[in-house]
Amino acid sequence: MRATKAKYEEEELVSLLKQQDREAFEYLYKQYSSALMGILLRSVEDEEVANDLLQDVFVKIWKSISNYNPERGRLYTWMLNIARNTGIDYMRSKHAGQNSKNQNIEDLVYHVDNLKHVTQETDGIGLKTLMEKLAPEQQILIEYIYYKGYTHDDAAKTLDIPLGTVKSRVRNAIGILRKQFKE
Amino acid sequence: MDIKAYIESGIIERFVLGETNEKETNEVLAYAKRYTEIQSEIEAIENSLIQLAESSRYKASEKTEKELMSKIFGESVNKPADDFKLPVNKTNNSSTYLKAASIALLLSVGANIYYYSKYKNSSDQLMALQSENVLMAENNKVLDAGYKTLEKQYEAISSFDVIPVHLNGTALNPSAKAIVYYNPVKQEIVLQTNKLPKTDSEKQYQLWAIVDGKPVDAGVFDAGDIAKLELKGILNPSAFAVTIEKRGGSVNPTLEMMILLGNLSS
Repeated sequence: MRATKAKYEEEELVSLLKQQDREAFEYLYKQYSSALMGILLRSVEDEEVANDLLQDVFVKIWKSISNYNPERGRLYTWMLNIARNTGIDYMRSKHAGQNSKNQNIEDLVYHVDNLKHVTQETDGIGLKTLMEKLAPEQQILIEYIYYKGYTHDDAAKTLDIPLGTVKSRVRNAIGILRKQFKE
Repeated sequence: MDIKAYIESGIIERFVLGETNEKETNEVLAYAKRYTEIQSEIEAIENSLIQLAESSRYKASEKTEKELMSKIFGESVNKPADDFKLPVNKTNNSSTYLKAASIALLLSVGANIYYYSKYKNSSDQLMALQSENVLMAENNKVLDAGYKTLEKQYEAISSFDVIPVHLNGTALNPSAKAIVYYNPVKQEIVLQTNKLPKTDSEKQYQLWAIVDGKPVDAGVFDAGDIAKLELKGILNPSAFAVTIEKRGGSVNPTLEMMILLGNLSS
């Protein structure tokens, strides 16, 4: 039931946005800015930078909404990808020249641990984020592949684990995250 | 086709992340139409990523929203109610605002004169004057906006259609006061709220019109200076009341939290 209702609202919203309706855009910002901000923060780890990039993200959304095709997936997913790519591109251009692939696992575990305290808004009663439902080795992979934009191959090389292990850990992680989604 | 193997190859994850090339994308879409397992897999991955994003939300700064909207739409976002808030100045006393604004104008003119005499060379003068013109134009914009706001406020409270109603504090806070300027023709209310204490961020004031003995929701507002509410067909109220509700308001008034009450004189 809930999924159907959400989809209907999305259809209307998409239609209005494609007509460049300002109120629809303002609504979009209010509903989704904090989720997109969370993604950016995970990639760039700097609040000021994340705020600046958030503007870029929404400008991109506004300008390229005509390219969004509902057949390819939900609007939310499309926006998350724009946010993720914007964060990753920023970090890549910032570290161009530096060899960022030298990061070792201990550093990243510490980093992932720190990020647990970054979240400000939570749903429901618990203070734990969804990430904490994952085992550390899964969290690390989500960090690398999802937030930092490593390919499965690069993640395997950097972490010195077999590609098959990477793939199965990612699948398991998705399986766990899926179970959290009710309805 | 081995659906399980296809899913386990990770191509669907890459599809959802927008990383597949055109050939791969079309392939996934075609399979999704044919095999429900693949469509379900797509949705499950999308939902997981959405849940992840939802659980790690982080509030952006207010400045970001303003700058964004100004970038895209030119001027700042103003909903009708916001037009009724005075520009952010230390006091909400309009004559103080006017004094401050005219001093700013005088200073600007004074600066103009100063720059005029300072630069003997005429092209220097021209440049200085041009930049001063920009400054004055900016000042004028601010003044214009200020005057327009004051005009609107004056119109709202002085029209012959408006019925002013003084609300007095209840036992909850005897010193609280507010004035409701109720316009039944325009179906709007302007409230003077500067004698109301501010609520904490989880609460908000809600105005109720008492019609035929029953409370009718007239909108929520925050304490400050002037608030404007749009009504949906409220006619012949006998009184107005204000209660403290949770932010966003309630369907029915919390009567123990009534802070103001005032009757219309018959």
